[in-house]
Amino acid sequence: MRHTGSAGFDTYYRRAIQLADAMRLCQDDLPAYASAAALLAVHSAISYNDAVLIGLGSRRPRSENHRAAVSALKQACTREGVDHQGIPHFEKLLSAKTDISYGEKHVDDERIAKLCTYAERFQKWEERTLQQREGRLSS
Amino acid sequence: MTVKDDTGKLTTRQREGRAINAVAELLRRKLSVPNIYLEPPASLISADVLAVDRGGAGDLHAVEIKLERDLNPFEGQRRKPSSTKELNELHRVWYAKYSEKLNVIHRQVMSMPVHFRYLAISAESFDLAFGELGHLGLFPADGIGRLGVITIKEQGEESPTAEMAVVPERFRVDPAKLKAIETKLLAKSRPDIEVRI
Repeated sequence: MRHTGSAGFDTYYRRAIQLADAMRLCQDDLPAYASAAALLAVHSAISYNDAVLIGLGSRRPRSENHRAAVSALKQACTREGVDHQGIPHFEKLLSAKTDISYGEKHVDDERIAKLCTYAERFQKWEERTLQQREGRLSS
Repeated sequence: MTVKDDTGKLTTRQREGRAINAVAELLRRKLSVPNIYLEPPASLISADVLAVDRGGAGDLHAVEIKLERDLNPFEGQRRKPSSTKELNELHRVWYAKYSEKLNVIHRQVMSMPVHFRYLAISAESFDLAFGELGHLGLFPADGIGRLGVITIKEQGEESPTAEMAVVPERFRVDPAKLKAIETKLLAKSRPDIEVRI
């Protein structure tokens, strides 16, 4: 059954793409937009996670609990026979969410650049996973 | 030999090779985690750079780079003409050849079986080329899609840079030709540039 055509999937997938594209724009001038890039990295990954869960036939988690989001993704991947290669990147992004959103301490550009890399790697894994299941989404 | 001397003696092939890197970098920044293939097999697509958006799952973008000296009016003039008449004649002959060559290139890039098609030319020759391309048309007969134009700025010993001069629009693609690229290239070959998972 195809899940990627559903309204829910489209909403999360488009949101994820927009956030990831905005992150890349911020990366072009990282010293000026570092905090924005970090937030966009985390939130693009969260939206990609919601999209891929729907794509894999699961529901997106309703709670704000990050552990629940990761375990829902792991369960869906295991059930559907999808590799877990991208999940560690998602975990790293979620573990940084509190620091970069609400933390009092300065987050340096080097760490933010790493978060953007994790976001790109998670995105690549997610796109590959969806393509392997559903074919090319844009043609 | 100094670096400056060295870059001054580059062949067209070498200049286009350097431009390939500049174009790949432009596409890497513009697209979303693209898979980029440098000089893909000509039997599948006649292009210098092929980029597939969204980690290989999205639209295909192909760029043909043309930096031949005879496409640039500021290069290749061997001697000063002795009269205005001779100058006009030289210009007429040169322009006819130029126009013919650009026509061939235009046909080639407009027929690339990808969603986004680009021609990359030297920044110096942009004004003239854009005028000529305007006659040939940036749009296909059905109006679906617009040819993108990228300018390459060569800066001696500095790395060349690529800029989007004309933003492309999405073309309609023959599914059979697209399938051939997908099955014979994308599914089999590892990209030259990609985001590692």
